[in-house]
This record gives sequence, structure tokens and C-alpha cells, in this order.
Amino acid sequence: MSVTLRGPVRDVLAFVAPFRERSRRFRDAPGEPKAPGHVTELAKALHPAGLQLRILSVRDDSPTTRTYRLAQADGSACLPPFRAGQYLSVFVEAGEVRASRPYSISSTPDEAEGGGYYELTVKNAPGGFCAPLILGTWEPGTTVRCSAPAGVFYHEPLRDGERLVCLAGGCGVTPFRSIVGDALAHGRASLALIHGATDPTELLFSGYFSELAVRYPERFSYLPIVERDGPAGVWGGERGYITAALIERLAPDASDAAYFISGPDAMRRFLADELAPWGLPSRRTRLEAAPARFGPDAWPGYPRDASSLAFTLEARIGPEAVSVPAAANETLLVAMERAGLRPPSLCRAGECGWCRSRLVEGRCYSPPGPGARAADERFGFVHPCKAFPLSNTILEVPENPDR
Amino acid sequence: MAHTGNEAALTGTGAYDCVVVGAGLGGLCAAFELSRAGAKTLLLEGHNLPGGFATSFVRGRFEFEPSLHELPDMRSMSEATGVVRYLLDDAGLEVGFASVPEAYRLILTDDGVDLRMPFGIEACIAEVERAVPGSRPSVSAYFELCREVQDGFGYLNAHARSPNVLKLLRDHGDFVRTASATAAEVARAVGVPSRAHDILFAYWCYLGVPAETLSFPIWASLLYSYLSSGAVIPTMRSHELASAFDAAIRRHGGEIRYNSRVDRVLVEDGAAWGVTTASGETIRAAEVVCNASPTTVFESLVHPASERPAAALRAVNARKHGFSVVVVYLGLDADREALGLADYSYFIAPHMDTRLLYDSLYDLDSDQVMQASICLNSAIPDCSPPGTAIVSITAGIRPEAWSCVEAKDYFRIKSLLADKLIGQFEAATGARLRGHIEELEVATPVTFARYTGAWDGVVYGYEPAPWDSILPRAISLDRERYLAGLDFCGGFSYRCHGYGSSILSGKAAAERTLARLGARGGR
Repeated sequence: MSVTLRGPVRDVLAFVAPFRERSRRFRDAPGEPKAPGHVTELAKALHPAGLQLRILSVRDDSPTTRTYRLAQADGSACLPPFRAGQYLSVFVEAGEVRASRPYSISSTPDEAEGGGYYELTVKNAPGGFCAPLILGTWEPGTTVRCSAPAGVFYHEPLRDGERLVCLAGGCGVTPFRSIVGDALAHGRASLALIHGATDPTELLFSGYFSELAVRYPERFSYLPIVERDGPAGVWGGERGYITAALIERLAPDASDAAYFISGPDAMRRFLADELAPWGLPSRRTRLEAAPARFGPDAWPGYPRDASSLAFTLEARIGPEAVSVPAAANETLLVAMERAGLRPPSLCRAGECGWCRSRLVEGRCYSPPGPGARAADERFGFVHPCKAFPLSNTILEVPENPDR
Repeated sequence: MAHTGNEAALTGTGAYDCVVVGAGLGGLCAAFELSRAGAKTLLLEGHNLPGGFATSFVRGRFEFEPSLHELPDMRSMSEATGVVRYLLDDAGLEVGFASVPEAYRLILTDDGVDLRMPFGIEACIAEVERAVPGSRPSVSAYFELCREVQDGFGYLNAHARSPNVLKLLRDHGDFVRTASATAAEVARAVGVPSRAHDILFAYWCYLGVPAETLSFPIWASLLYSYLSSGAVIPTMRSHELASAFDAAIRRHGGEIRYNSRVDRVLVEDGAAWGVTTASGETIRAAEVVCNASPTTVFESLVHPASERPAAALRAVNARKHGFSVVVVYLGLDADREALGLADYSYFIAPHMDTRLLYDSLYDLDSDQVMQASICLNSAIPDCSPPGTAIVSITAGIRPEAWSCVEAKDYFRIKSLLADKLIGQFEAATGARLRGHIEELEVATPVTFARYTGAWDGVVYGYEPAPWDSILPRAISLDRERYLAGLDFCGGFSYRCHGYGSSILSGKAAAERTLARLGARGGR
């Protein structure tokens, strides 16, 4: 065809018009650098690469648990806002060994605002690496390096609705202190919390929750339950484990509720069996990301008798290549940390993908669970925080930007 | 043992022929072509994944595609422009593609429009005729014009070094005559009824510029390539495509480093000679190819600042960044049949007054919203587990709309926007998504700024107005190289934005860079 827009001659002449306009606009524009705008500032404020915090105060919340109050180390800047239920990944160092641990923020988002603070609640784990070090060395004034708030264990009304049943085991209650406090202060949600602990002295935040239950009788109910009585021997409350019957008693007709579960492996398995007859749709249960604390033996598909083997891991981090021992019953991430390397890590549960690395050679086993990208399997990428070696391996690890 | 990586590599020895800054699709393709040609190549990426916007993320049992990610499958076109054929046959990438079933379902709620636009030019013309009786002659003529624009680009691609102006005028007269026109101008001249034009203009949101300022050639090229030969998407989300590039680069001896943000492009006497990473490492290179935008590079990366040419700063300041988006990702616990989602791609707006829709991009509260929404399972049935579906809802937003947002309100605003967009989708389609939401995530300009480093989180490059569209950019390429040893690829470069354009811009940047390396005897 032959189209005419402005006139046969003018159309052909117009071909060069954009070039003239381009030259004119380029000539007339300012020649000074400009800064990016508010969105970039927001991204920095919300998602800084890492945080340097200082401990303001310490308090004992139980015989085995201590809560640390932290603010920005430089004293000036605001803390990044977070969603109640998120965690900080804390770096812990002993000599040349540095490991990370995710700890739920037990304080509420309100408490972080306007020169406020985060609180992390740490339970002692005898024989562990991080918790004893933290409890032994952190004191007011200590500087702590950690990630910005992260994680997806939070209440989202559009997804979860306005009715929550929170089931906590032991120090797994820490995110619920934040979630319950925040939801009651700002949302419309009604919540029930059952907290199971070994004995009454380990019922963290029971004063806080009891007070909220009094202040919001229509919206919040709280039920503590213990395995056995404490040294004082005065416990008059519930004993045993969190059962389906107990849940029904505290939160009757809660088939439309969202079930938030946070606690040790044994408690999760027990609850899974208890709740199975209810046939809850999978959108109704949300599990706190569980770091791989134990060996892989218990998982389906793990080769028999493999967990006692010992291998070598060649870790290529940036320009370095270092060979380190790698026990079959520990993750590749732990093997690297033990050897003094500083690979990236965040959730330590396979979910966030921050440690994603390329398995150049060798085989490893990763327990089932969310996190892996489909294409990563084909192209040989693994999440070392959840990968147990089944042979000698070579791993190409991205450098840790926060080293 | 001590970790001494940094100290070991500070010396600036071990120089590369080329350092590529950013592993978006443009940077990946550039690094691939450079390493394939034997150039010693290092690709540096700030994030821990390849792909930029072409990636994926996992929530629960769902793996989401972050962006609208179709590649027009120009099988019928020449090798020079067929991006899918290039990826599969020429580059030999290990990536699977699934065909998108239809062009789009268009629902204009104020105007009572609800139709399904098929692929294939004849079928499109018939569908528009059905919706707007009598439109066939003008719409046919319009598509003919679009085809001629495609041919014109084909000629320019084939004769990029020495286009014959007389031949161009004789054989591609319509291309020349419409080269400076806007999309609205051409539609009027051809006599396309405005209602028909509304129906044909749904893809405007892929370019992000309203009809009366959108460059016609790039619009015509996009419309024709989509409608004539359909579109494809990677079967394992765009992360598959990015990972396939990653694997191909390594196969050809190229090096890739993630978590390695470039903070400086080092320049001396008007020539780039290397980069400095965020960890302080300096890396020498004969050539630097930036997937990062010219704005980012000239405003903040070129070091020292005295080496930032005023002309380059004027050039980037003269241009207007494209928009960003809000995306709501939904993992649903019902399959698409149960949800009543028959289609793949839903364009939903109150109307197709693109000026009004564009102006509303500056307002977070606007109800004049156009959304482009995808039910991924309609193209890839097994992209999520049996009995589930993935829906993502994308709506444009200007970064300026966020200027009043404070960090403490950010999460609440994300939920409000998600609620609004889900409501708009449900109202227009009649599908019930609420009650099935197993996973929900919301991305905003802040999210994109965080993960990709894009200037103010924009997802598109500079707006392709007639004076800053593909032709002026391509023809001005040499004149607008402000620093020696520095080249650009990606959505901000000469082909304008889009997945296909970004990939091919990387290929072209590699070719230019290789020519310079060869001329210098640097390899």
C-alpha cells in the first residue's frame, strides 16, 4: 500500500524529524548528574544489604532463654520495618569460624518504629554452636551483624483470612509474640494461641499473652500447656501435648481458620498426625521455615547407612578453591562454615535460595520441602543449607557480599 | 583457615577482553556471544541469580514467573530477527518453550468489550470485524502497513552497515513515511475506527507509552510479530532461559560471578579500562559492556566523576524512563477449570483511552487501571501441582506515584494494591480467586529496585517516543558512544525494551565489541 499521513513530500521529509528533535532534546537537557528517586531510597530503607546492631539491654525470659533488645549500632538511622513473624539472620563468630542463625524477631513492628528496637529471643542449646556463644558473649554494648528482616511466615489477611490458630512449641513461640501483638493492634483478625512447653518456667511471654487475652477477650484466646510441672510444683493448668481435641476446645469451629505452626520437628510431626483427620486444605497451614538441624536419616529416599560417611568438599568461592571435610550427616553449608569459609546464607531451611550454588561435581541429597527452582535441578544448582553430601563434591559458591 | 579472596585478586592483573556488567538477558546474551567467539569474558551480576527480570521465585509449592515474559515467535521472519530460532538453533540453549494459546482476552468494563483475540492476522481481522462491523478494509490495510514496517526493519537489519537510501525509499516507502509518526497518527490516516483501534491496542502496555506519543514503527513491529506468529514462554519460568544462558557461557569458557555488584566503571582519558566491584576488587578489561542502563552508568558508575561526559549526562537526562509495575502473584488451590479461567492472558481496563490510563500511572489510588494478567497453567498445564493454578496480575505504575510512601506503610500499601487488583480481575472475569489463595506475593517498583538495581525500579527502558524509538537510537548508535571501550545492551539500549529486544541487543553489543577487539588486535 502507500500511506499518506501529512502529505507525500512532507512524509518523506518527516523521516529526519525525530533525529532533529533528538539532537535538540539532547542539547537542551541539563548536563548535571541527578540522583535516583524515592523508590531507590525506599528499597534501601526496607532492604539494606545487612545490619550492624548494638545490644541495648538483655533480659532473662526463662531459665534457658534470654531476650536481647537491639538498635542500630550507629544510633541514628531507623530500623527497617518488617512484617510480624519475620526473622533476622545473625552472624556468630568464634575464632575464624563464622556461622549464621535465623532468629525470629519477637518484638512487634510498632516497637521498631521511630528510633525503636528489635528483640531476639535465644534459647540455649547445649552442644550447639551459636546459641551457647550468643548467651555466653552477648551483653549490652555488643555489636551484632545480621541480615535485614526476611522470611514469609507472616499473617496476610488476603491469603489467610481473619482467623488464626497459632500453635507453638517451646521457643517456637517467638514469632507469635510479634504476630499476635501486631494483629491485635492493627488488624481485625481474631487469634487463638496454644503454647506447649516442657514446664511452666519455659512458657515464654506468658504474662504478655495473658494480658492481651484480658484486653482483647473477643479477639484473642491463649492456652499454655506443659509436659510436666516445674520445680515450684504449683502448675494448675493444662498438661500434655497440643492435640486436635485441645485445639477444638480453644478454637471451636475453626475449620476456616489459618493454622500457623512453629516449633521443633517432633512437635510438627505430632501435630501433622493430629490434624490429618481434619483434611485441612494446604492453604490453611503455614509452617515456620525449619532449619535443617538434624541429620538426613529420617527423610524418605535417603540412602541407608550413608549418614556415617565422610567426604571432601572442594568449595570454590570467588577466586578461591579450598578443600574441606564434609560429613554426610551435615549440610554442605555447615561443612564450609566449620572450615572457616564464609558462604552466603539466610534462612538455612532451603527456602530463600540465598546460598544457591553450583554443584560442579558429585552428588548430594536434599530433603523434600519448598524452595528449589525447577530449572536449578536440571542445571545442577543446589541450596547448600539443605544439601547433604553423598560423595566427594565440588561446589561453586557465589561470594558472600556481607563478609 | 583465613578467607583471603579479596586480597588475592586486587592487583588488576589477569585482564579480560571484556567485562559485562549485569546478567539480565542482554548481559547474558552479550557474555554468551563474546565467550563463544573466544573473547576472555567475565560477567558480573549484583544479585545471586542470572536473568534480571527473567527469573523465578518459589513460595510453598509454587514457582512463580516474576514478569510478563512472552517472546514473539518470529518463525516466519528472517534469521536476523527471529529471537526464538536464534536461542534454539543458533545459540543452542537448553531451554524448552511452550506456546501461548491466544493473543489476549480483552475486557473493557466501561465500554462493554469482552473478546478473545486469536493469533494469525486473518483471524485477528475477522475478530475485529465481528466486534466492529465494517472495520475489515481499514484494519486489513493497517496490518498491511505493519507488515511493511517489519519488512523495512528486515532490510535495515540485513544492511545495517550501509543502507541504500534510494532502495529504502523505493521498496520500503511506507516504512520511511511512517518512521516518524505516532501510532495514533497512523491509525487515523488509515481510517481504523476508534473502537477497532481500542481492540488492537491492548499490547500498548508492553511498550508503556500512550497511542499519541508512541512511535509507530516499534508499535507496528511488536503488534505484527505477536499477532502474525504467536508467542512462546519458557516452560520452567524465565529462570530456565537465564540458567541456559549461564550454562552456555560457562561451556564456552566465559566466567560468571554472582553477588558481585559493579560499583564503578573505571575510565581514563575518555576510555573505559575496567570496573570495581562492591567488595573493592578492581578488574581490568579492554571493553566494558553494560546491561546496566546508561542513566545508572553515567550518573553514578563512571569513575572518576570528571570522566562523565556532559553530553552523555545531557543525553540520559533528556530521556524519559519507562514505567514500573505492581505484580500480584497468586498460587491458587484450585485448577483453572474450577476457577473458570479459560484464557491465558487477560487485558482488563475500564476503557482504552491510553492517555487517561497513562496519566493514572502517577496515582496509587487511581481506579483507571489497566491490568495484564496471566493464568500460567493455560500455557503450561503442569507449571503448578495438580489441582492448583498460578495467576499473576500486573499493572503499570510510575515510580513517582510512590513519592509519598513511607517505609513503615509499605507492607500495608502492598496489601491494598493487591486487594484492588484482585478485585478488578474478579469483577471483570467473574472468576473467584479469594478463598483459593494459598500463596500471595506482591512485587512493586521497590522490589525491582532491590533485586535488579534498576533505576527507581523501572521495568522498561526509555520510553520509545518517535524521537527516542528504535530507528533514531539505532542510527545514532555511533554518534552517541560517549566513551571508548564502553557499550550497552538490555532494555535501555537501541532496540528498546522487551525480552526479545534485550536478548538481541546483547548479541549486537557483542558483535560491535568483538569488531573493536579484533580491530585492536586485542585477542
